[in-house]
Amino acid sequence: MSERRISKGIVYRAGKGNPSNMTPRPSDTEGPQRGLSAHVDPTRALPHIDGSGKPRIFRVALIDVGELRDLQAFEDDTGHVAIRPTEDSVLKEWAESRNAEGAPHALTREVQGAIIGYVDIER
Amino acid sequence: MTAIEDAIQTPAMTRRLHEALEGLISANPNACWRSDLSTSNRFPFQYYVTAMSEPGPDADQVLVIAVECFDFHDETGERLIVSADITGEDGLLLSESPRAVVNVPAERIVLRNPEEALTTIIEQIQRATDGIAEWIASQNPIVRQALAPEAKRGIYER
Repeated sequence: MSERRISKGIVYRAGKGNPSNMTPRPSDTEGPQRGLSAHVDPTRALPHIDGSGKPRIFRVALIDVGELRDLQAFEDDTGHVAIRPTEDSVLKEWAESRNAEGAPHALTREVQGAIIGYVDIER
Repeated sequence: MTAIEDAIQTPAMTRRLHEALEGLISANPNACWRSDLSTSNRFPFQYYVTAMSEPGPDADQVLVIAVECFDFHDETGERLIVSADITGEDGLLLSESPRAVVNVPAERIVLRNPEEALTTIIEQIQRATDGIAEWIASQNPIVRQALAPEAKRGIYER
């Protein structure tokens, strides 16, 4: 699957702008989609949800990739967007900082700074 | 906006919010809590309290309590919108507060009497954050319910 770097536009990530949600997990540091996951389609930023049951509202963050500086955004053929630094070693270090006590990683702050609002998606 | 941002971020402004959030944390001591206060161009303040399933970088996020001040601009002018919400996994909306809107006067009005304009805005923001703090204090049933399945699975115990 090919990917292309995108340097402007809005991508969507489910949830709020708190540090643990704006930091990739260590399990997200390998493979072609490595990095913090987002999507060009807000409805596809949500995980698969069983269609049964009453509708629920999910709050989705809008991230302006044009605001990123030390991070880059890569879109693949599915519309998935991976936000990550240029060096994989830095990506791993960033992921290890997730849920740590103390101040969030500088790259987490960069993603938080790129959030321009939220949209509600009903599923 | 810089003077307003400076005023928003003072301990006095966030004290009641902090107390209300600490109250929720104290009432639910079995969760692994993380808190964060940050600012950005669009959000003069964002206060997050997150309940994680366990320590460590691979932990699941169970609950997020967010208090945000959003700097909104449109053709009618500038407004600060102060609100709070509680979300579960993947942003599932569990509860949200009423929104408090603070109008930011046009620059020409501010320049006539900057001190008075700033004082008025800050007073309105303080009232908004105090209202949010009261809302937060009422949300313990929601928080308890959201955390209960995790507690029953013993997910906080290693």
